[in-house]
Amino acid sequence: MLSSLFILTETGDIIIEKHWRGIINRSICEYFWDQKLQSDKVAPVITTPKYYLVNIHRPSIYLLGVLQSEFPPLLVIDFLQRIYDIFIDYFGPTITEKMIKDNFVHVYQLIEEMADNGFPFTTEPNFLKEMIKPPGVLSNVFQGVTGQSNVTDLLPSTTLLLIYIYYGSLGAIQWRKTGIKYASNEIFFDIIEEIDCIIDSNGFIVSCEVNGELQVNCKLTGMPDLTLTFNNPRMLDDVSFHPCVRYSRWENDRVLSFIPPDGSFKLMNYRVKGITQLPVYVKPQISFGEGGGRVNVLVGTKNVQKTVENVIITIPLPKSISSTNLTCNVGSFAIDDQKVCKWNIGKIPNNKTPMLSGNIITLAGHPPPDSNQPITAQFKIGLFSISGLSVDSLACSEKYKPYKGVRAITKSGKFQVRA
Amino acid sequence: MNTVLNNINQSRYFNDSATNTKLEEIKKQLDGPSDKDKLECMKKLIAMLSKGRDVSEVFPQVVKNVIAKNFELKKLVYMYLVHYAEIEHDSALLAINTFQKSLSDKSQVIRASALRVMSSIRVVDIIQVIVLAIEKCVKDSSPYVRKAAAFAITKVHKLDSDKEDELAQLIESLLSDNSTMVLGAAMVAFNEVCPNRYDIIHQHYRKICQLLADFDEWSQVITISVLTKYARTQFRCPDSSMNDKNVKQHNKKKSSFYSDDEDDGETTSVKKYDPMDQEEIDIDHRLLLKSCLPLLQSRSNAVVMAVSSLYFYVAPVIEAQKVGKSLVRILHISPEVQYIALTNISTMVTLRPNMFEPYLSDFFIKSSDPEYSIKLKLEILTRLATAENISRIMKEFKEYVKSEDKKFAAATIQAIGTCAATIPDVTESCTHGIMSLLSNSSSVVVAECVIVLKRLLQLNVDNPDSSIKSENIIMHLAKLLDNLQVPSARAAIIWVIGEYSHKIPMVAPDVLRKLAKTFSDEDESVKLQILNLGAKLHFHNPEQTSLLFQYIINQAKFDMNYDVRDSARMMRFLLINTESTQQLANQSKSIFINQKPAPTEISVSEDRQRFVLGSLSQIVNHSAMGYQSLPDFPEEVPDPSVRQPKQWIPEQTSVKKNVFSFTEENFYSDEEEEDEDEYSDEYDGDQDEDEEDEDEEDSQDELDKFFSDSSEGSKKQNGKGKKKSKKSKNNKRHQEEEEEEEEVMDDDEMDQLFGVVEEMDQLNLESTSSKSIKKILLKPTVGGGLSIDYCFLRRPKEEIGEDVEITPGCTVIQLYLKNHSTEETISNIKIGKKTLIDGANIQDFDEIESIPPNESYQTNLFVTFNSTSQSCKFEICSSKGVHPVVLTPIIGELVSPLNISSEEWKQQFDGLEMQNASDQVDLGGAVQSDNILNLILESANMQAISANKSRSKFQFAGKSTLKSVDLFIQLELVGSETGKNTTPTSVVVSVRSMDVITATLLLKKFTDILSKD
Repeated sequence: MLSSLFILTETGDIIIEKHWRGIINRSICEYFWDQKLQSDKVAPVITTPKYYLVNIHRPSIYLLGVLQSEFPPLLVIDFLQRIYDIFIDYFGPTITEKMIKDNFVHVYQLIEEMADNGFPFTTEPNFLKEMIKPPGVLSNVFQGVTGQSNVTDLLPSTTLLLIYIYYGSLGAIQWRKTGIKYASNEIFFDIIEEIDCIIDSNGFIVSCEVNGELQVNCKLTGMPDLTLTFNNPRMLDDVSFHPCVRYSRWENDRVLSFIPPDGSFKLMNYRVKGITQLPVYVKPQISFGEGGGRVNVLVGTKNVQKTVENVIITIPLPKSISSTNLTCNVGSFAIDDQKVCKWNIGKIPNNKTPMLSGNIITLAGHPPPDSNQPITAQFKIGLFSISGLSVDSLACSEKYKPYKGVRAITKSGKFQVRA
Repeated sequence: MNTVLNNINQSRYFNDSATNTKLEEIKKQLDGPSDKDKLECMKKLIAMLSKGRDVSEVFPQVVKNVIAKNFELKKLVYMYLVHYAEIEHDSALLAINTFQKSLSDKSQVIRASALRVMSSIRVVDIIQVIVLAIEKCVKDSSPYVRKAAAFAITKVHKLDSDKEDELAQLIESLLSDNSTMVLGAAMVAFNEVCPNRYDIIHQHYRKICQLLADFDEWSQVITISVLTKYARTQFRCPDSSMNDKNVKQHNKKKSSFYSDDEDDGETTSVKKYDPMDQEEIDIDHRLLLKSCLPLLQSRSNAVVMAVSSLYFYVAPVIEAQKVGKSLVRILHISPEVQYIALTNISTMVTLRPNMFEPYLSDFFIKSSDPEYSIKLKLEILTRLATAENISRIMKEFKEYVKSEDKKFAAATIQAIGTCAATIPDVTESCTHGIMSLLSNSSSVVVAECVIVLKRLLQLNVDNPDSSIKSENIIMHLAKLLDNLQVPSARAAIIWVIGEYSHKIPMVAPDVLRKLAKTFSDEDESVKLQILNLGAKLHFHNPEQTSLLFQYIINQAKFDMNYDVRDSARMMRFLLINTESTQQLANQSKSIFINQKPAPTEISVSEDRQRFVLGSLSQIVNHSAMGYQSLPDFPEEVPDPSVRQPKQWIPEQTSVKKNVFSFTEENFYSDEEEEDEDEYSDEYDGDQDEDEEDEDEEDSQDELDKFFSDSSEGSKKQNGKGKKKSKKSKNNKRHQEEEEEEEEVMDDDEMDQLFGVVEEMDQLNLESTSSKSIKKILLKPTVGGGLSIDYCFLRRPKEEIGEDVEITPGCTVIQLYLKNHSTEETISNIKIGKKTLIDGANIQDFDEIESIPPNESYQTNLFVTFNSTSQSCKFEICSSKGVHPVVLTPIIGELVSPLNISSEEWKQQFDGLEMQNASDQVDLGGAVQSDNILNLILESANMQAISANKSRSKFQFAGKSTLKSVDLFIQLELVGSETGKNTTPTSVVVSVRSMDVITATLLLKKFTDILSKD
């Protein structure tokens, strides 16, 4: 079980501390910070003379859990991640130092409720929101005027917990409360797929996989029992589900049967292997000789009808370059201090193939590099799923007919091309 | 208005002006009357606290506010209190009374938080008060509060570990809870307080396994790790009894049987092994594996890890393969998760490389991977290398060597070396690969190559089969000395030349000559190796080298480094000035020239094998505080009967009996028991035990039989089973009277039952059994010779007469008391103290004056449970003392039959569409529709209404006793149907009622029963 939790800023300031098993001096964080200064990527588990520090780094904050004795480290990481996710749920999609300070009372109340004695206690967002009202300008003004509190002791007693008691031993529908009402019943599915791949210098795929998730925004009245079928479920290599999904139905019929939580949630994560056709190609030709070299990078689309947007190609150049005369026909590029060339293409045009080419001159006395560093590519393709996964139908147990929306988007994950 | 705007932004509490507020001022306001001011103050205090300022001095003022009505204020006070309670513990005690009062608050959230805060006050003085509070909360009606109680137990344990026994008892009572919320927390407490008290797990083991999927993910992780240890102490090693050959044979035999689902890929392999496993593995062991498997699909990474660990340690090796895919999946979640997963995979791979062979390319390194992952991935790739895939791996490695990160490149070279050493087929190509890197511009890379080559040489030089041409390599290395600057690499080359100087007799002295010139500029480690080289050559080739050697020794004599000086001095007296050390000098050759064993490399991952997968100790590679190692499977398997549940779903055993009608047990076991006394006199010995006892052992036998039978081929089961049951019947005289009822329901009876004439035909039939299955309330060993069995009366009016008035909601339970002692009479039996939940009631039976030895007595008990899950606890007082007993409601008995017409049924059923609870259950294949019907009627006191002609749809109706609400149930068999011989593959059970609780509980019960095949 966790002894303490610290939340640190990017600069190492402690903004939140919480102790469950006696106060641990905040100087413990210095061990972490020392490591951080040594190498940018600190190992997630650090041993100190008396404690173990488990940390995760998320944009602009570090969450640091302190352990004193044996406890599954992955559970700590999952829990820290959950705290972060709950923050996002409460305070908005980007968490900053200011945001935490602005809401520190909420933060403390949340941490207090989320863990007892250093072990996760109440972690379901729907449940938490019943107990601790999310902040909002309106509710704050309201409180300011009325002096009412944002913590309620009434909570689940009337709605949620009732279900908890009844279903507690059964299906455990801890993620939905009763009595939800919407004027218009809508449910939206977002299929988000990321391509992780390594392509060798000849353009062959060394490894490739697609990691997808099905994000749902559910605004449905009552207790709808939904059944979602896919057109081609067999291609999913491995899946993981939100606890609401009935596993046996999936095993038997390859359909997702579930009572959804209210609001946004991640229904499923999946993995697809055996993708052989990539939507984007990058053809680098980089060669060096004595005193300099030549760079030529071509980028284009294939096997895809949709527009490819937000394309950024990152080309690490040798550290020894002194000057370049690179040019590109689409977009713009910049070379930073680290001699990394960032080529921002934007949208790939239909009529021409983006190309970056030119010569590089290296500093005198430096031998030509042995090899070229891998190029990475970022892109986004709307209304397209690389795996071809698509929703076939959605059946709803309630009397109304909900409005359904399905969107797909494909993004680059770790898309790496060896030069 | 100002305050309104201020409130919008809480960060103002962080401003210096706010945090510098004088504590005096805060004190004053906290003593004041305004809740709003107090709230302000508390926020300021919490802000100061999180800025690291010590604000403990206002503690007394804060404590006073625990009585606050405002819940937000109360919460903040709690927070502050817990933070400082340890330091200010005298003042903290002031709050105790308030907490105790709050424990009886009507809001469960307040009750829970009062307990949470109270138990978080780390002051030893109040331990007993906390324990009392926990005892109270363990019995609370809200699972939320009971969960808080479970957590409080761990806190008390931390404060005072002497209380272990007392706390273990509390945990045990929490384990009998049926709310997954509470059970999960209880398992967490178990793991913290008494992780080795498996005796309190036994009884709940099956329930925990079955409900595991519904626990929250955090307690799942802990529970799975507890169960892993449990399984390692209680079950047989799954692989010990069968060797590989066996496995293969089984595979062949079974594959034809399941050949139709061959195309199913992954799932078939699962199914294929099932029948085989069931005969090899204890059913409880199998249950554990089966309940954990779906959790591999959990969104929680820690759960996936825990299940993987469980499968790795507890499942047959062949099944443990399944976890590979899920572990590989979580690699992509986040770098932190990846690190933990990789560390664990790298250890698994050292023991069972084939688990991850299919996922080779998932371990290829991307330039964005953090350093800590790179090392692990390299190691995994090395471990996965085989003669078949080595070319792919080498191709990757060659890419990595190009990396700008030279540490990474160096690590890759080491990995190549390891591959070369372990896979003889590739040794040559690897060596060449490394040799080609010797011309690399990076000295780090070259140095690493030399070190790896040195190792390879050591391993292969004396191996005549080796493909390495050591002479060439040594020559090549010797040439490198001219340019290579990295000391460790130079030292390694010099060592190699010295060690294998006989392979290059012409070159070695020349090398020494060159080194003698540069000696004084060399690094210390190189100097030492030069001395060694000189000494070795001194033996092989004294003519050419003695003078050189002396020259080097003379140089070393004045070296700055004392190691070098010492070494030189020693060599001088051993090899050159040998007059005074004659005896040693004679042995000098064996000192300097002898066989040196090749270094064996033990990687960190191998070292980590010592620790349980998924644990913290495994990651940090030392034993963390509180780490418990995993025991080996026991030689002797402990008695499996301890897991036979006494209270929870005892019907489980009866299910088995009924599903497989070939077992010897009678169908309506209760009928039999009524005659117990009559025939127990006539039959003794084996018969007695086998047939009449409701003993646990008996049903265990039953299960064993079932499993051994089923493995013989399920096709035969039916015929054979019937034969068996008939045979057994002949042996039992007492059964003859009831033969009709005991006969397995055949088709004719089915027709009678449902009167199949038209599509949906109505029928009038009483529920088949008048009583539930008999259960044990009090064991004779506990009750001092007095045993009490009980069963629920399904038609109380018929049994006890129409004139007895039964209050609504009341259940009639028949008690069978028996005096087992041979001489003593037990007298004055009555009900003592009762512990009941609100609204529950037990009407005492009239005191029984006495029961003579070996006599029995029957009486009725009127019980109002007023809950579908809360048990009634009471005491049985007799001349033998007071014995606490527990009576647990069984959902199926809290229902009474409802007789309505088929049309009416349909109308009602359709009308309740909104209140539908339904589920689909898979059947094993051997189950007949007849059995299903029996099962349902056996497990719940329902009225069968109608069935359709093909007998794929059955309808039932009932009324819940507690709320007097109608229940409608429909069973629909799904599967291939050929006339009367339906072979259903699954059943859709729908329960509709306004009484949602009973409906869902019933549904759960039915699905449990039907899925237990």
